[in-house]
Amino acid sequence: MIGQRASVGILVCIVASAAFALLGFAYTTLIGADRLFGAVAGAVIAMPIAAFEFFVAEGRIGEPLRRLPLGVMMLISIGIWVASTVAGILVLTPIILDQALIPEWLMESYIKDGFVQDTIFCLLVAVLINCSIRIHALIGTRVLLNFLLGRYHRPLREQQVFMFVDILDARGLAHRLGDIRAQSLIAAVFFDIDEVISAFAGETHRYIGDELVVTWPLRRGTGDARCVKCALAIFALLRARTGRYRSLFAEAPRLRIALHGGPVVVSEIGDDRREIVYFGDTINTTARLRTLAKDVGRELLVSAELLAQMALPNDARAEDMGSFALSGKAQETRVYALHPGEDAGMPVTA
Amino acid sequence: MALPAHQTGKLAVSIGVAAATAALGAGYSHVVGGMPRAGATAGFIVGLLLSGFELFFVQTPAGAWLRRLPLMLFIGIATLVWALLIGFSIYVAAPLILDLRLSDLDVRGREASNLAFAFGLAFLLTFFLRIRSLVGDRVLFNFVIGRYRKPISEERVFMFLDIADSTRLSEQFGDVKIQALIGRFFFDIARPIAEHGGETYRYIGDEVVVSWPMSRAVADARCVQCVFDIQDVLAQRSDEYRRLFGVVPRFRVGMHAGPVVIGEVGYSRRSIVYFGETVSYAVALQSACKRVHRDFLVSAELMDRLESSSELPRCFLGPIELFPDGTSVDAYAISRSNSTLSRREAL
Repeated sequence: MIGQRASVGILVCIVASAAFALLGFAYTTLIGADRLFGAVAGAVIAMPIAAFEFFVAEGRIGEPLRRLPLGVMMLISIGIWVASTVAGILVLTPIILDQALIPEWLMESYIKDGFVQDTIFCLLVAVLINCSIRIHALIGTRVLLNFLLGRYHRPLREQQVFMFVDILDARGLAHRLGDIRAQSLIAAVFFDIDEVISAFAGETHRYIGDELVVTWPLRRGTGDARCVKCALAIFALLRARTGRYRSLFAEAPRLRIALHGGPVVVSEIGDDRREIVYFGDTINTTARLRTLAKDVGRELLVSAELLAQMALPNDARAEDMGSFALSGKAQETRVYALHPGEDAGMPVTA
Repeated sequence: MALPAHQTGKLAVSIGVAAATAALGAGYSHVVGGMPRAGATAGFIVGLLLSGFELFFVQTPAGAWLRRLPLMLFIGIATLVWALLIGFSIYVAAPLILDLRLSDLDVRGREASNLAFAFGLAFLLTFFLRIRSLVGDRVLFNFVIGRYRKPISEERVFMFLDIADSTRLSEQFGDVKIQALIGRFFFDIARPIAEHGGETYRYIGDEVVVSWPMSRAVADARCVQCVFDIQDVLAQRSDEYRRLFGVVPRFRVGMHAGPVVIGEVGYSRRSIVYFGETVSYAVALQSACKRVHRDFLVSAELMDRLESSSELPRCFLGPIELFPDGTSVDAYAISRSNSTLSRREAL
């Protein structure tokens, strides 16, 4: 059986091929060359590139690639793009169309006339699209889209779930391991849990020192109790990798997670350095909930407000912690600690 | 007419770009069998016009309206201008200068694909230039070379600047309106920050975090001059703020310097994080502003390293408690209170 991610990937490859077939068709029409050749070449070029980007660069097997410096990763990726383009035009398409390996029209007029320009064009497109794909990793897909559409150009009130993930006793870690090794450990943990967050459709909003802020639109976060499942899966992943962290850093990190949801004002900010910021009491409450998690010694705290909006997963159990003054206002918030049930094992990839 | 230093710098960049595009144009027309002379001329004009548009319009106060548009519109308009400038250079300016007729250009019936090429390139390049702002130039560069792949320690200056009483303001004026005010304020102060070599690290609610490499910040006390410039910008635009939002924001600043560990984290949202006590001290100094009724606190450690610090309007406050465990640092308050600026800033 094919997993959900794999089917999405196959769909992405097909759509990319179709789009590039159209592009190839349009381009060959424009320069007055063989249209069939253009369309087939477009499809043949796009298929392996899309497959590489989706299944390798963004997939599980691409993890070592993603750990490389961005520039190196870009070079490797551009290399694959160029190889695929050259192979597509000069070898695969002629074979498919049952033409001579380098078709005559290609030989006669094309190489002399347009080949250089087309190659430069393909290379530039490859480099720029590649840069954009890599930069999108620095920004986040949803954030990039919202910037392009100008969605938060004027501040907007929205319902969001917030998850604060905090490394317990980071100051102590820095003291015992030294600043630099402690930071390496934190980076390794955040890199590892990134995969879990994406699997549960969470959006990494930002890293603040030893802390990570994840958001969901309220419905997406509460639907299927995704935010709770994500938090539990993070703990499960960390437990599974305790041995690895111990052997690498002589110490396994412990986390505290707080979950809360409610209205926030979302807005674009800045000029030469733009960001999307969240503003409002919901964030302060989540931050206080995270501090409370340390005080009461529980791994995962959820506000009753958020918990009431979803069905608790079967493998989790809730512990009533009582009420606390969390939101700067007089009113108290009821807080629950969540614990994994008996059968909580490795994280499930959604 | 003598140009100010940064204008001369921009002009030099413009000419450098033009020289590079001239070489590109000559090379390109040579390989496609055109006229290298025409290619070089067109390339030179393209480079001059495009870099001129970017440096002397988009990146200046005159282009602020454009930068304030939603990104998609900004990209669309910039692409159109670029394409027009490219078309103008190739088909009008270069032939005029070289006294050629269009038919002499020997484009071999590929005008359509040449134009598509120019448009496509213009779009991709402007798209790239615009979304760069979502990451920040220095950050992008450091990601590309993988500078912080393994965490390293650096000496840096940190500034935490936040809007005073933003909670009270949002209760009074509504949170959406105050968020718009914050957005406007951070847009307006981006320029003075960049001009003083500050790197806007990130925005957190009503707060902006800026950092400088140590040597750049202490030369001419630029990090402090930066705050003065922000005060000036706010004073100049106070009427505009009052008209748009009904209030002129006040802000508080905490500044500290020292070693920080810098590292890359994450993948789907790769970021650079600063880690260490220096950062927490700067945050704590900023929150101390409210307690000691000052708007601008600088740790003595940083003050001692600033060039010509004795000329600053400073006042030594002695040790200020930063953390509940009693940790404190010596700090200075800086205030240009005898000037008219500060009085106008008051709500």
